[in-house]
Amino acid sequence: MSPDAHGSGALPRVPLANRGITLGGLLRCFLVIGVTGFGGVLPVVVHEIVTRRRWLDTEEFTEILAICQVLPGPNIINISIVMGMRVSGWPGAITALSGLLILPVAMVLTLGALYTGFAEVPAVQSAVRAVAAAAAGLVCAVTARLFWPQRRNPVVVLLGLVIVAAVAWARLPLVVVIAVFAPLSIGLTLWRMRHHE
Amino acid sequence: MNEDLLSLLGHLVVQSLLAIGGIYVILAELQRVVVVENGWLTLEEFTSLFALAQASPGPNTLFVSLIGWRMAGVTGGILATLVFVLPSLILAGAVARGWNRWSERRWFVVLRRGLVPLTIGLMASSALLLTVAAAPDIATLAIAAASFALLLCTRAPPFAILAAAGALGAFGLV
Repeated sequence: MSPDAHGSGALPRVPLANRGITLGGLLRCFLVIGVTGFGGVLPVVVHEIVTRRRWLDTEEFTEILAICQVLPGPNIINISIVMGMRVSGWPGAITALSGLLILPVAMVLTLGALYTGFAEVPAVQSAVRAVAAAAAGLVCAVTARLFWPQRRNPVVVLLGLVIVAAVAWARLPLVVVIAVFAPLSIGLTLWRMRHHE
Repeated sequence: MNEDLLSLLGHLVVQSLLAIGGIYVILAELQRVVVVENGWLTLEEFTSLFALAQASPGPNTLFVSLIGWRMAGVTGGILATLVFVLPSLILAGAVARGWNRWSERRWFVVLRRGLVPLTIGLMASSALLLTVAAAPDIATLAIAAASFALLLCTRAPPFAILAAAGALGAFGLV
């Protein structure tokens, strides 16, 4: 039962609850995401959930990210809750969220004091600089990956460019960008669906 | 429990609901509450805790855990984390509960697909801003480009790519 086979929106997809994902599997997945996610957790989330475990295809993941983006709170927190909830209700949501948070919080609260002085060492500083550059490269790669299935959708291409200009060039606050472009994004998509179906 | 911590927790519940898109949105407001208005932390402490949260693995909500920790020890850290994620748990949980039921309803399909252009645009913006900030010279740009190619063209886990970059940096090659 490959979720990829149901990637096209026209076919009913296998519900997440019926894809053989166990609570233990969910916990292991989010523990790994928690400890290996440096400099932006999204690349790790895509790697673990889409590439490695194939619990979701790229488009399904983008839709979950889309909803999580407009909900309050960091996207990755919301993704863990939405994934867990859809797999097995509240126990799933709490399992995924705890898996994500427990190791990083435990690490930072026990090692926090040590870590602060450590950051002054020159070798550590240049390692951090290199990791930050690599992390930026990974975010670019994930963007390309999520964009690829949408490349023939003119709404994505045009609105995407306008949003990049609004955020990166005009430096509009994110809340304003969402308030302006979410209705526009939904409206244009609805218009396009009407003209294509 | 001390009063400052209680007051911080109250602020965090509200801030959590305002943090649409993530913690960066509320950074300025957090700083105003924690540093300027109440003097719970100095600006230096605030900045170094943020750097620490950035350098640690995991979501950057860790910053909130660290603020609670600095103010009231491990208990403060844990309470701050819980209070900050609770509104998300309730809201995202409620939406996800409806997801399976609504999944084929037309309005929900329109909402999900309709938000995709916005999401791709926001992802591309952060990719661009991150790259501009983190790759100002040839060496760092080469690392960013190599990571981009490795993630897209191989099945190498992101952690291995970051670790390799970290090793290059630690040996002074960047």
